Amino acid sequence: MSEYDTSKPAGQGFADRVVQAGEWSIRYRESGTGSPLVWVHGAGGPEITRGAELLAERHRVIAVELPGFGDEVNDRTQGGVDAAQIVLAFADALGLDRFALWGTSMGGVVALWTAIAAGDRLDRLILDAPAIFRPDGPSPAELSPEEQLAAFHAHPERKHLSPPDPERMARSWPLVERLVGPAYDEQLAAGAASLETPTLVLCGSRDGLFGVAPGRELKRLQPRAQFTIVYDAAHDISGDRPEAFAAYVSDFIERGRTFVVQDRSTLIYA
Amino acid sequence: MQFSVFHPFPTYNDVPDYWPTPAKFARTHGLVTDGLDKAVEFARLADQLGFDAVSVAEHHYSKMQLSPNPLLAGAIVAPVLERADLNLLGLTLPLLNPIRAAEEIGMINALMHGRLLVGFFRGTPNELLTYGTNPYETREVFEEAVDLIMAAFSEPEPFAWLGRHFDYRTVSVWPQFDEATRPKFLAAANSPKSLEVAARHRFIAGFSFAPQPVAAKFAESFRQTAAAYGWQPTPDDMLYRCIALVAESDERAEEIYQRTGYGDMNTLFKPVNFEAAFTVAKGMAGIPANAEMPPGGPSMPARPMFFGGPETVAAQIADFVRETGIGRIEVTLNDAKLPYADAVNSLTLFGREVIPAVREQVAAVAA
Repeated sequence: MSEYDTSKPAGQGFADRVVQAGEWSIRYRESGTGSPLVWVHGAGGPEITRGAELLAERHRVIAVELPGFGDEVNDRTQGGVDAAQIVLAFADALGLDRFALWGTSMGGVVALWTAIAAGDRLDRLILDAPAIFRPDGPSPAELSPEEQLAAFHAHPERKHLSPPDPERMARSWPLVERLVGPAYDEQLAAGAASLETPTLVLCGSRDGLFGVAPGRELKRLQPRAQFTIVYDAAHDISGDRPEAFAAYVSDFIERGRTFVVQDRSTLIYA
Repeated sequence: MQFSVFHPFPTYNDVPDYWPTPAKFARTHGLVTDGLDKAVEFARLADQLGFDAVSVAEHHYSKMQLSPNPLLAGAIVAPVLERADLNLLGLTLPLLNPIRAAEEIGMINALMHGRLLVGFFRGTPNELLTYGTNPYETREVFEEAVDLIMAAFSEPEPFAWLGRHFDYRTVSVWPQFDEATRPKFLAAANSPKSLEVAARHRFIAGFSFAPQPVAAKFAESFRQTAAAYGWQPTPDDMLYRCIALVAESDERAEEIYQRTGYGDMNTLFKPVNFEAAFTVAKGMAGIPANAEMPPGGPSMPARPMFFGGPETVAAQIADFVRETGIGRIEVTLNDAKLPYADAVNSLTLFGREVIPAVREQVAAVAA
């Protein structure tokens, strides 16, 4: 088990960069070498997790900041379909013909739209705690601070928790609502059903926002998707179970659908 | 009120009763088949006598309890249970592949048309030596295994499980059950932490062998813990297991006890490597391996909990039910020390006289 340095935020080894992608000037953070993995963040904005740090030990992790999640307001992006075009333009700007795409929570919606729009460019699609096909329940804004903490974090002791920035959240929340779309988006469902990109969807067993319903529904729609329940993780899967998350996702990136075939030896002594 | 009889599947002979019992004795012609034949006969009789359930457990490497797999033992007795339920009490989860266990639960539940109670246990110290299980991890493994099995019985689509102790990448268990044939589930609840598992999952809480005042405290603690999870257990949500002996009279029961030592749990499992068994016990309690055992050490009942003639035993059980509020009573009425004829007699008296008398007394108090 790794030591958890919670004195400062994860992602210290990530470099801050900016790239011009069409009309957008896009900030991103990057670490690692190897096969490119573009990461679309959740509603709270781009926060590097310990799981992302560990993935960067084997992959080139590129955490894109969607326009509207910094200091500026983004009134132009009307939904997940628009945001998918931003992700593709961003990949173009970095010269990424093919890449793996990872979306977290709200970013899972954007990532799924991206795969529907340009699945032929994606080697893999990874969705963790995606805000797709959401069950009925309170929105995060309706939860008490204690309920929010429990919904997002099964293991707050493993991470540095920064207090939310209310001003930024207020500024970006209309955009968040446009990006996640309706609780059940029929068009998104139709797209998911015809998805051909090898897809992994992970849901935490203790996710207090959506439970495992999004993964279950994606699996129903797309039987070739891999639906994984991450035990003892809440909504922040890559922060709650970083070692397991990184090893598992990395294995999926490297072996695709065949990663269900166990390749760890059980030999104890030669 | 529900009454079940726990059948330990003993073998009857003068083979040494220490643990592990050397396998060479199990090669004695007829020894094992005779034990199994008597187990089936005993279960059939319990069914005919009006017991609500017959219960089997998991124990390894022992002449005392020939039941390494409760699901297999259950499948053996299931065909003779025409009206009684089958209790699997229980599966020692830290020893098992949870997915395999779920598959077998599904099979036996289908065989029983849902007349099944499935118990999840952490095991006893000697059992954890069977497959080299790390005792210090058993609580974590147990809790994860319970969650995984319940996911296997609730998820509608194939899924993978990325656990702390289990990593299964393709899970889609068959058979399943519908609401009409849904089995009941139980978790051993002999400690505050295990009791919490039962309360969280809304399982039946299983208590065992504790003296009556202690069982009453456990039951009250379970009710309070369940309330914190938003539900109120009824007497049917709690089960108490103990050893009992019924004879024609109190004097006759005492004579049997003096002659056989039946019901002395301190002699039930005598580990050859008692140092290892103590270390396992420490591990299960979370005590460092190099620490001294707490003063007194483990303590087990030396006599049957419910003991005597039918009237005496009925009064004891009725009093127990009144004080504890526990509505499921499970009795062990036979083991390898007790001559089979005495066990059958005890079973018969319990079924014909004790059960009706307890029901009557409890109903009278309730009225």
